Amino acid sequence: MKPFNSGHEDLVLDVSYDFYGRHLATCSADQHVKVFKLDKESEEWILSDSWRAHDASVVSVDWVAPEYGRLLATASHDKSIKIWEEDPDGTEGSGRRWTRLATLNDSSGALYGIQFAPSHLGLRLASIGNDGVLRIYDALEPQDLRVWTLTTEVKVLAIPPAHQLQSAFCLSWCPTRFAPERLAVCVLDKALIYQRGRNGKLHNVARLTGHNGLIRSVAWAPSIGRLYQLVATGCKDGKVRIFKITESTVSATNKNNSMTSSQLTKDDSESQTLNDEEPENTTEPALQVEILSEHADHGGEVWSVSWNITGTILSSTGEDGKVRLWKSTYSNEYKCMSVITSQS
Amino acid sequence: SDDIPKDSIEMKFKMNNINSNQVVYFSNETVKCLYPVTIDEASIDNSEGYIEYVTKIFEIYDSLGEDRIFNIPMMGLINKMNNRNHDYNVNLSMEMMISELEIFIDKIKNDCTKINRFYQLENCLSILNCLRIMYFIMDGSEEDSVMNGNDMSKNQIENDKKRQIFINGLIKWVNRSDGEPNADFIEQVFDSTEQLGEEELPENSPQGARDSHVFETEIFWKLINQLIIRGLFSQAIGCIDRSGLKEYLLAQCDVSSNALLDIISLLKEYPADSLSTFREWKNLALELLQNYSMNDDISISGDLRDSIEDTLLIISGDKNCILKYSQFWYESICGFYLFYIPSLELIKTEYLAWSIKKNTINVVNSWEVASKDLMQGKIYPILPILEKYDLATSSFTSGLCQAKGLLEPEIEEQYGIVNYMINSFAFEICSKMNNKKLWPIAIGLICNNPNNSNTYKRITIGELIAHFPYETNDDLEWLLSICAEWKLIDVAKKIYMQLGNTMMYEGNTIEAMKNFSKGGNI
Repeated sequence: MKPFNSGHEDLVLDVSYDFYGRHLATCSADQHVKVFKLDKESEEWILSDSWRAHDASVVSVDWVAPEYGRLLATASHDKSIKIWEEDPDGTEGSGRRWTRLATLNDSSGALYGIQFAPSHLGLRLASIGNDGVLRIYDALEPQDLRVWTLTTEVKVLAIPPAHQLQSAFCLSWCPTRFAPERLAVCVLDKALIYQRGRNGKLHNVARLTGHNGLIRSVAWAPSIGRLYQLVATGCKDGKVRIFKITESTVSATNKNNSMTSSQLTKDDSESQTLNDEEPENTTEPALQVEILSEHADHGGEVWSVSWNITGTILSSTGEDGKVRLWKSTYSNEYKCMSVITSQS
Repeated sequence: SDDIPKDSIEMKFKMNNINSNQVVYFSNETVKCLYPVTIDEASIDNSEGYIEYVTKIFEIYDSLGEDRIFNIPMMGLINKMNNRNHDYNVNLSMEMMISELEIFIDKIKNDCTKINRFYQLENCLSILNCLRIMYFIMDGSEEDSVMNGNDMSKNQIENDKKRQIFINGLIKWVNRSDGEPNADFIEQVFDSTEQLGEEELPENSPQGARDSHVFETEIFWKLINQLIIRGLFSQAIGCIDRSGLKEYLLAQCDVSSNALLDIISLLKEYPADSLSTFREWKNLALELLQNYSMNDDISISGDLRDSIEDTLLIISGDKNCILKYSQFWYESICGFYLFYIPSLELIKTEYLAWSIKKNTINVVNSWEVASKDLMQGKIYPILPILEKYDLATSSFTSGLCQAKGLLEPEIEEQYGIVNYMINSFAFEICSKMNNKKLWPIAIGLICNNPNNSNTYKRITIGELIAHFPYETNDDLEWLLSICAEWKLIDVAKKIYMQLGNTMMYEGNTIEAMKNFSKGGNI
């Protein structure tokens, strides 16, 4: 297939596929969002609709799980998140097929990343932005998707970075329904795992260490058929890292490698929960994190990482202009199985 | 992906559920295009032939039932017949899987766009053929033969049958692996000498005389002996007939003519189906060799006599002569089994050692490396090699090896290699969202994998099935039947909700409400 012009007048900053892989949403610095449909006959992406979504660069876009309808969430440097719903009767290409349901304006800094939670957690959305605060919104009334409630706010960074400095923020939910609610949040060069505790609050339960630069991308792998979790990060230091996360059965306070949220809070003064006034439960199950592999094959900054639906193949892109696909061997060793280049 | 700019810096990519429709994009200053890319994995494909092949081999593995598990009875009344039946079933499955692979290869062999795939599958076939002859035929029948002596028992009949299957398998492995007999090469041998004959003989010479030079060349005898060592007896006899050697010897030397006729008769009557008859056959070959080499009434050239004698040495099992005329290590192994001592144990030990000492293994040919490993009793190293070429073949092979007891038994929940390979293959075919035909096989593999616990199966199916790309009512019925079987209530609800939303999107409000209701949302 030939490359096709996205039609955006400025940089394409993010793309997202719907659950079935047949719709593609793109967002751009031109403040617009576009939705493309995959034509079954020609196997080409056809523009379905395009509209101006924000007053600044749109940096992140995500589709909701299909059981909640056809919703899109967009986040922008204008500090707002918008929820959009497709009107099946709206004319394609009219710019009016998608109607805005809600605008969420709680962030005090430019937003960088949003992602809908896996469907078993309900209609839930997480965001991270330049103010260093992780926010989680819930549509508590699924019949009225215009109402979204800010249910959790966690200050991940004590002091937001200066605006003129290069920064990176991203997040990724743990997709499995057989684990507690968890997500990986990356702010600058820190990657943290948050987990909802028995008290209903998010606690920082682990840290993915070893990053020596801004973390550009994080992706939590679907854990189908695995008894452990995998999280991949792409870092400015040129490395793709894959972390293995396992549940610790022993009380976290007795372990050196794993940390409870209270320990982490003590250790890391920058990380604290805003709404955590009472002492945290130290018997919360903690996570053990080990780095499975590090790969510097891109020879420069790593820009994105993503997993396939079964979590068996990891893709990464980097400054070398190549897409690398990584696959685990029986001995849990990740090997580059394929490289997509301009020549391939 | 033809025109992805090389100098772009902020290259980004997200994996789509549909492998063939993924886009690369660039968040840099100039490029606003999206670049569709396709992820094609070499070891799995989307063709109809492949789907058919995978379906067939899954059916074979699935029909093994309880025999997928290898059990060593440790207590109680041990029924020898049970073990035999188990071995018989597993051996038959391996044979059927190889046949299916051959059928699939035949389908793609003339498709020039699939030349790489063809060679990958041929490599798989060579490895499987070797695996079969080494572990999926004999089942200790050699020991039985020793124990039973020359008694014409039921066991012996069975063992003779196995011997025939083994020899056919051995010949097939050796010859299919490197594409022998090579008709072009045979033609070349005859062409070169025929041309020579035409130049040197007068125009009115009889046909036999015109071709007489063929058998006087070294290359002709190399060809004949190589064909014999490889068990290609009819081809060897055909070449002898075509060469005019019989007519020439009839006119020149009675002793040599009789010896040649005896060689042909011996080859025609090679007792592949009976070990006891083989002993008599070999006796005759040795007698023939002795009579010919001791005979003083031979009136042909020394070179021709030596060539006939070499052929006699080969069929009477002379180790040095077999090695001398073998071009490859696997040829001599075949020659040793056919003419020296037909013993599987000796293949594993002495024959392999002698053969690779004379002709080293070509490490570039992975099937040769894998075959050597198999002969040395190493099963595990062949699995990654097979996996590289074809995921389905490697997964089912690992399952059959486990069923045969060739691999260490795996403990539930522990991620052993068979578990890894079967589950990996199941996940791999599910990650190809545009190929829903293989989904039932994936679910079947997870359900039937003897190493998976029921909890694991339920969790895995629960996570996987939600991604099934249903389109028709039949798809939906199948999907819901899986949910019912595994009591995946949440997944079923989720599917109804998805369906409700799809209906809503398509304007079928009543249908949508029905589905929302089934999903428990009304």
